[in-house]
Amino acid sequence: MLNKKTSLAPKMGMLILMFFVAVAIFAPIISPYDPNTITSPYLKPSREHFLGTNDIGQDIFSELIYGARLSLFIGFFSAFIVTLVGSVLGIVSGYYKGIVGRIIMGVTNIALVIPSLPLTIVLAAYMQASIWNIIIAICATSWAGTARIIRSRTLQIRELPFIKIEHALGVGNLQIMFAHILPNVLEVILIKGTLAVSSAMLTEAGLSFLGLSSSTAKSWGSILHYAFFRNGVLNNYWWWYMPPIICISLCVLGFMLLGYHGKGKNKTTNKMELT
Amino acid sequence: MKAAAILKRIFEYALILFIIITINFLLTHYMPGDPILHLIGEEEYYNLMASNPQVIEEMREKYGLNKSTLEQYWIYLKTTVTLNFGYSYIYKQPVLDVLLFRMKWTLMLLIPSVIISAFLGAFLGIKAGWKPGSQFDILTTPLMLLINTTPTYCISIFVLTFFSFTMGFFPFGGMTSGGLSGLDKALDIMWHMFLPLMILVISKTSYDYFIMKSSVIEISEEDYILTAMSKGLSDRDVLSKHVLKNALLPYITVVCMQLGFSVAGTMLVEVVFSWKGMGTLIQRSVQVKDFPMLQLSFLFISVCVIISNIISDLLYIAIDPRIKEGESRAQ
Amino acid sequence: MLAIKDLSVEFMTDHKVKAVDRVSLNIRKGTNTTIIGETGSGKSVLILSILRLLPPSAKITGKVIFENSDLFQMSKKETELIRGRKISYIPQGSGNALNPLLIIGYQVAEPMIVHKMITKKQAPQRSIDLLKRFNLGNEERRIHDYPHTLSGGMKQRVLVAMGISAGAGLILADEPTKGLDKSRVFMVVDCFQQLKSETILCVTHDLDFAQVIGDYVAVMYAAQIVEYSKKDDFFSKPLHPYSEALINSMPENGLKALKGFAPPHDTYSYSGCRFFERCSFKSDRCRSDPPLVEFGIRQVRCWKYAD
Ligand SMILES: Nc1ncnc2c1ncn2[C@@H]1O[C@H](COP(=O)(O)OP(=O)(O)OP(=O)(O)O)[C@@H](O)[C@H]1O
Ligand SMILES: [Mg+2]
Repeated sequence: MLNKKTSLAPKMGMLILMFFVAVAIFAPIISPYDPNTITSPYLKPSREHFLGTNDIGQDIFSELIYGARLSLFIGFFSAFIVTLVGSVLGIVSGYYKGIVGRIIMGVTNIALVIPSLPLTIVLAAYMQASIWNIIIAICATSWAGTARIIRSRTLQIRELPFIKIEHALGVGNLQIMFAHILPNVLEVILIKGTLAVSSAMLTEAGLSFLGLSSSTAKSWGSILHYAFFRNGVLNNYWWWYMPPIICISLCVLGFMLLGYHGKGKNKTTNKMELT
Repeated sequence: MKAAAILKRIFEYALILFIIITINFLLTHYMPGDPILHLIGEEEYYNLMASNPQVIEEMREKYGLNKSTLEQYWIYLKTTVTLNFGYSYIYKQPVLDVLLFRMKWTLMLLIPSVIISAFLGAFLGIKAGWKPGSQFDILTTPLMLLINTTPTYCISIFVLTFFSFTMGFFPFGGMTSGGLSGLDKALDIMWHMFLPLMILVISKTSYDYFIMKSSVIEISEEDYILTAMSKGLSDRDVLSKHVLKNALLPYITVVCMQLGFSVAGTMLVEVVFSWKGMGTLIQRSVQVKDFPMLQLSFLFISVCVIISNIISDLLYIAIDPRIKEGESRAQ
Repeated sequence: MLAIKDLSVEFMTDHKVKAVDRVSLNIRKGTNTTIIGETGSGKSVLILSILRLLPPSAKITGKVIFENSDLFQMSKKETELIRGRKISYIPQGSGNALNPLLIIGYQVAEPMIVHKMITKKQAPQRSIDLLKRFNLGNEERRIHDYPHTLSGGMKQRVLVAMGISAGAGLILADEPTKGLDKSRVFMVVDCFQQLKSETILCVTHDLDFAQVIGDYVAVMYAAQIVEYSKKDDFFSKPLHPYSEALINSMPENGLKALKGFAPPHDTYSYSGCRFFERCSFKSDRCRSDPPLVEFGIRQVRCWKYAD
């Protein structure tokens, strides 16, 4: 019973994500309108406009479909950078215990304490509103968690006999790190990477909701921003504010379900470290 | 031994504070745009530019912006240390005053929500973690996961439209109806804060729930739990005498640490409910590019995080007999 | 004292694992029985199943008769009354068997407190007395210490003291010497020799240890008991080819290690001797299940002795 349940979760997660990825890829085909074309504002759901139109008369359903593109792109792209940087720093600092490792660890520990959402907001406020700046702001603050856990795993693995033998045999440091340690921490990297996508998407949605992304970029967060600040919520236009909420939550749920699977499988990984 | 560990941590946190101040300095002076704009905010800058450009030059002089980077940095540190954070032209007040006033309102939401959810999350998490796979667990975990994956401002919007707009049980936002005093005013504030508080409570509870649950599950698998059971302790006693103490240790420290980060977490909820705390302050400052206000807010939240970290470290050192000299949890 | 009859334990996890397969064993009062066998043969599971300490995923069948009642028929409450008071369990000390957040004194006295034999006030004195029996050293101060301040050997002695604290007549010990160096092993031997009058069932990997403390030896291989005999008979003339191989692997006999590994659990349902692959006496009839041959109290599960 229980085992079936645990293996069901990642499958469901995968299914949800595949759906959204497909929507994102085929956005131009699926979407009935170009989300930037303007018709009459504040239309209610109808046959022409499945979810009505927004304050400047853009088709909300099309916005939502294109929103999947941007939200997922920002999520994946930031997560890729964050995970890459975090993993490299984690492995290097775990492997070189000396001065290099200590410096990286010190920086990581500091970065962990700096509150990331406010810093991201401040950074985004200083920079011109654009999706690239949002990605930069997200990346600048969220690599530390990955670096820390990869480091602690590397520290464990480097004490294993086979690494010591490699060392004694004179195998190069780079080769040990990336041919032998990396495969052993890959699972943790993947789990962390999966969760990083969802947290990047959440940050992006938060920033966009606050109005920090560029006004032409259509992500789920920015749809919600206009729905909220242009009276969509006040007038209870549920077709405007509910869909982005559902999309964000479903997508994050998908990533969580996928990530949780790995957590359950690897017993040696401390579950609390991952969250 | 313990004193040395504490001192070391405090030194580390002082360093972090210093780095945050430095980040602020770098932001002001090296982000694209005129540093003066960053120092006084966008609106005032363009006002002065149009009406009185020579005031801007005077300011450039005052902040030493024509001097070397090092000197500028020194001036910046001096003004920061003397708690001179500048003036908000938007609010026509020193930024510190504005911030402290707003902080009061944020704390009013934050402190009760953290405390209530710490208990609620612990209670539910223990119940689910002690018997994973039980009916309670099967019902609670998906619900908590759902709450956890839905951003708080999304829940807020949903709740606001339902309870306030549709049902009319609660106000549309804000903090008081005005024109009241004494007990009536207090009740009125409570009525206004009910929804945002509830949302913060459930979202934090879901977070605490997972921490406690995984902590209890992990501890239940430890050898010493088997030892305890072999002595003839009942399930209840094993839980209360052996599991709880060990599970509470990481829990308390995580919840404490979360306190500082929660300041940021309440932000978006405040925005939705037009609760005039730190969150709406930051949001508004972003919109009008009131940089001094933003800088101070960031510094202030960082200080909150650091303080809560220190408390959590101290607690850890006080409770855990295993902590040795210089050993820190970060590893 | 304790009669185990046809005890089987199966874990209902992803792939079913039969960790203990139809084990029968008699423990006589006042004797020491050691169970030896290689890793994964089901020794720990056997011990834990007696006190029903296995997780819910374990399906247990068979009988364990202790003082004329079947332990598996008892209610939860009755089991709790047996645990610690009548039958105690001594885990291995190199691990994490002591609660890191409780002082040693309390943990040693806990079985007595649980069974209401003493009050909490009396606990410190009782633990001091108990720990003195095993020469922990500086007992008055030690009882206020936390487990992390103890060495592996010290922890083991604390655990032994805890095991006898409520005066259990039967003591189950799981690898009390694992992870200890030779001098520490002697300390544990010391402890056990002080318990000569008790009934002990002890799992070990360490044949020297078995030789010193045991009266009887049971050999487990791939979830079954393949040989059971008096200690002296066993060490002078092992019957089962696996026992022989074990004894040959002792340092004084030239460290001739046995090649290969025990068969995986999913093959247990096939018939035939489970030692077949590694046996040097095998013949065709070993392809069907070997009989349990008895010579008095001595038992061996091998075709070699069938005639
Ligand atoms: N909780 C469990 N769930 C599933 N399988 C288990 C569980 N506990 C033990 N097993 C399986 O039962 C088998 C026997 O394990 P056991 O711990 O009894 O071996 P052992 O003889 O004590 O070995 P060692 O000498 O290494 O302690 C192993 O294959 C193990 O994988
Ligand atoms: Mg074992």
